Amino acid sequence: MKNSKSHSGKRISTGIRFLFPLLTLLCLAGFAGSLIFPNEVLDTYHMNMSEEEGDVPFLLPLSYEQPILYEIDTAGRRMQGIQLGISKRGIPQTGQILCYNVSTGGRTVSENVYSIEEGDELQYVFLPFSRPDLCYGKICVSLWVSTDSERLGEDQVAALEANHREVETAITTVPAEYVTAFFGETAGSGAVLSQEYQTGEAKRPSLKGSHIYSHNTYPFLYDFRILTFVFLAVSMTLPYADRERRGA
Amino acid sequence: MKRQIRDLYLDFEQMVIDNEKHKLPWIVRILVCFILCVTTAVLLEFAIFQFRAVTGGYEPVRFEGSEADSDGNGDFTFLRDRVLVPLTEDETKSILVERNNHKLLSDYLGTQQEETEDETLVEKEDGSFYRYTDRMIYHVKLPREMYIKKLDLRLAMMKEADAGYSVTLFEQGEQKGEPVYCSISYKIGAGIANIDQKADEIEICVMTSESPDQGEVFFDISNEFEPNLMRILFISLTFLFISLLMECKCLVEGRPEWSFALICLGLGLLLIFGIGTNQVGYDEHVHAKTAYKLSFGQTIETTETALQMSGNLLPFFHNPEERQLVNAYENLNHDYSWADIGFQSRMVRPETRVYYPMALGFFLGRILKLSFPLTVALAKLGNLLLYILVCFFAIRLAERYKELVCIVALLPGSVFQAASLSYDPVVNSFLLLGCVLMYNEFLEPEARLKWQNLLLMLLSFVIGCQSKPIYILMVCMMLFLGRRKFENPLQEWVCKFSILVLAGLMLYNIFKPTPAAGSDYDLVGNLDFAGDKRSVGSSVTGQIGYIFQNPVTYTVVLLGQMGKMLFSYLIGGSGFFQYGYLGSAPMAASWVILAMAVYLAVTRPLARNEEKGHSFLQHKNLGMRNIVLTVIMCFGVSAVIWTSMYVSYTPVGASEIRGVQGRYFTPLFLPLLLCLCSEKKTGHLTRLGRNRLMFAMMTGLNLLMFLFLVLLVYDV
Repeated sequence: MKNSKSHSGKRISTGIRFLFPLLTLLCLAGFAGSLIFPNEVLDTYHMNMSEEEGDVPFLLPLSYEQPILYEIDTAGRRMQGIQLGISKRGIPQTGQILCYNVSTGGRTVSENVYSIEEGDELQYVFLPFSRPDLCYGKICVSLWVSTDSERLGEDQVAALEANHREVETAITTVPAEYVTAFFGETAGSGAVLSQEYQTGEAKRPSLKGSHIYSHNTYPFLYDFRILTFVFLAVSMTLPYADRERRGA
Repeated sequence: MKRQIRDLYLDFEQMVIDNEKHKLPWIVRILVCFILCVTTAVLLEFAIFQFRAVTGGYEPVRFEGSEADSDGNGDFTFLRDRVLVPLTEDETKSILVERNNHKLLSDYLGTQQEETEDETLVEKEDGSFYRYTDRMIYHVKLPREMYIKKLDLRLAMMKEADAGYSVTLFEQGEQKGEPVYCSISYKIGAGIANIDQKADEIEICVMTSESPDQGEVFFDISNEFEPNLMRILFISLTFLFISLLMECKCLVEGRPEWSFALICLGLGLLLIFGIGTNQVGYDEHVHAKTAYKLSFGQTIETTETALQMSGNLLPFFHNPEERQLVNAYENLNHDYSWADIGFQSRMVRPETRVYYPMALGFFLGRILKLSFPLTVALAKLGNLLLYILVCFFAIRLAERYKELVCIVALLPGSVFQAASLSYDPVVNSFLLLGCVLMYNEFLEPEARLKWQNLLLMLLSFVIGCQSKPIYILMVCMMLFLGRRKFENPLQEWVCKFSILVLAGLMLYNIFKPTPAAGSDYDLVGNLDFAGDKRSVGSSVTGQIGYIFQNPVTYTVVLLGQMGKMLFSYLIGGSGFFQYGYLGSAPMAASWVILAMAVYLAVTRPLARNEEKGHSFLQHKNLGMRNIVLTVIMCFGVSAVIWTSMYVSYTPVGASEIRGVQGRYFTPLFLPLLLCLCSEKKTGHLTRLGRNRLMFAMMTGLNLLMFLFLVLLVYDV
């Protein structure tokens, strides 16, 4: 009985002698692996999500003929997409598609679409870019709908939420013809546009939304690098095998 | 004579021990004691505290405000006017800060500063502020002289503003004492005052910022029989602790860790149920928010009550009757069917893991569909149980200084933190365990360092320092372990190098935290924008730059502030032992505990005859070299704590350091006490006597603090 206990004790002791160096190596491998294979996560920057005092949000209807242009300066970072407030104007918008492309230096680098009927009424939707690796620097996002607004009716076309806050790194451009077409005397439900806008006295509209970038996270880096040195330190307190045999 | 007294004392102790052998097992005795204690407490409650209700109780008498005569005729009259009320210091400060912020914004934007009109606000020439407040005075002549236990005033307010009232009592036309003041929370629409006096006339003066109709106010006076459960629990536990110390000698002497666990559990439960959902812990709302979020996966459902808890906006209660109303309000708004939905990353940041014990409580409360107050109690209980478990092992593993570890573990501040929503219990308990294991090695310089001890010690320090990495500097003491602790020099150097790198990596994480998923990473991860947002003008990089540019000035500021705090403690300007924002123990109590700790540190137990030669009686000291190193380590860690608050919390270039609190130095208490340990002097008490003294003092102090700071404030 005593012998079997002593044998099992020896087995445990031998196991421990290998266990901690092994754990140290495993943690070291985990440490290196965490650095080499990071986890990429989306990173939201709220660019224009609240109104200045006295300002009221309004809706900018989308158009088939004249896209809304949204110019962004990404300051060299690769952009993953944008998140804009899309209103269905209270109707299902069956079959309506929001088309958007990204151009830089006059060259289209990314094209994508979003089915408006899938979203809720006034939902902030993530519109990912198809080639985020090319979407950096000064980029211009053009947004339009696939269906002719004349066929659908002016006040039934899906719209983007906007306000009058000035954002230096994101400029919304609405063509003059577009303004005349959509913001004449009446601007449809929810839209607020004064006469001053047409005369150029009002502040320009600015799309409400967020810019989506990405960054790397290293979920286990902290643990692996700490545990590497914990196990290394512990490994240094294990007795040598020959010393144990001598019964020291 | 001295020797005779000592022999008599030892004979008495021996007799007690002999008697002990013939008694029932301690667990049976504890149970019997518990039943007896509860019975005694219930009898005391009925016979003393409910005496007036039993002998002269009456149904609540209601007075409707609409029935009061506004012409001043009759027994129930009403009067309304507007008075100027001076604002409190906090209210004045808040107005000044708001004005200053407006001015800064105007200067920055280059616009004209516009004064916001507030007709109710009056600023006097001396700079003091007053506000016009609506005052309603109800005067009631009672049908006879009545003993009024409680006055329950109800007022439904429209605005989200609190109100208050005062009650003046009269007896035969003469005013009795000072008026009793009570606040009215607009959330519960009521304010219940403890009167506990006889009167034949009362005058109630209601002050509000709005002008309610006189009929919107009604109040009840009562003297009903209502046993107070918190008082019964308090008295029961007090008797139980006394019987534990008197009856269970084997537990007190031989297993102090079990005594600690029972006492700490009792004290913690008292605090958890006594304080309820009142947020009186340090930054409790911030910790509550993080723990609540952690209890969910990726989708967070925040109820209205949870949202108010996160914003420190829950209504407070001041007696059991208000507590019922507050609990009802919290439960009504703790409805997941209209909860706010949010999202978070699946991966938990390392420093957030210390919230798991509380998060588990929130999680259990949710899946068991418990009420909100019980869910919060469960979250606090998670903290308390972890604290007890870790301290239990710290006491058990402390070879010859168990009493000192017990003192540190039972410090009122630590027990209070363990029973509240905070990560400090994790920090305090794991650092205590780490210190015990580390100093065990210093006290046994000849024995080899065992891998089990080192693993547990390093893990304790790592867990304890996850949210406050600065304390990892304490582990640097391990670098001074003697060569005999290791097999050979190579092992020694690699081990010490690993510990040094480990400490360095944990400190590096303060300045360069591992990136986490979330928004605005460029902003959050940028030290230029780092700094405590509660303090205006703080900037981490700005302050570090200032320190490097003015090293001498900063050193003077640092040493001056450290000395000032020490001096303030020495002369009694600050209390050592605090129960969060509730208050602190009197200075005398703090010094008595400190004197006892020093006595227990510098003396060893008096040996009974059969104990002579036992290892537990041998008190070892650290040796001069280790004492000096420990003092340097404590000074260094203190200086770094002060510096961290200067960098993160104090405005750039300030000539003072803000935000440093006494509780930050709790992990240093044990190393400092161990410096005093002496192997030469024998004390006047046996091990049983020392443990009894220590437990009695620590438990007594905690119970007294609970009585005066919690029970009498919130639960009667």
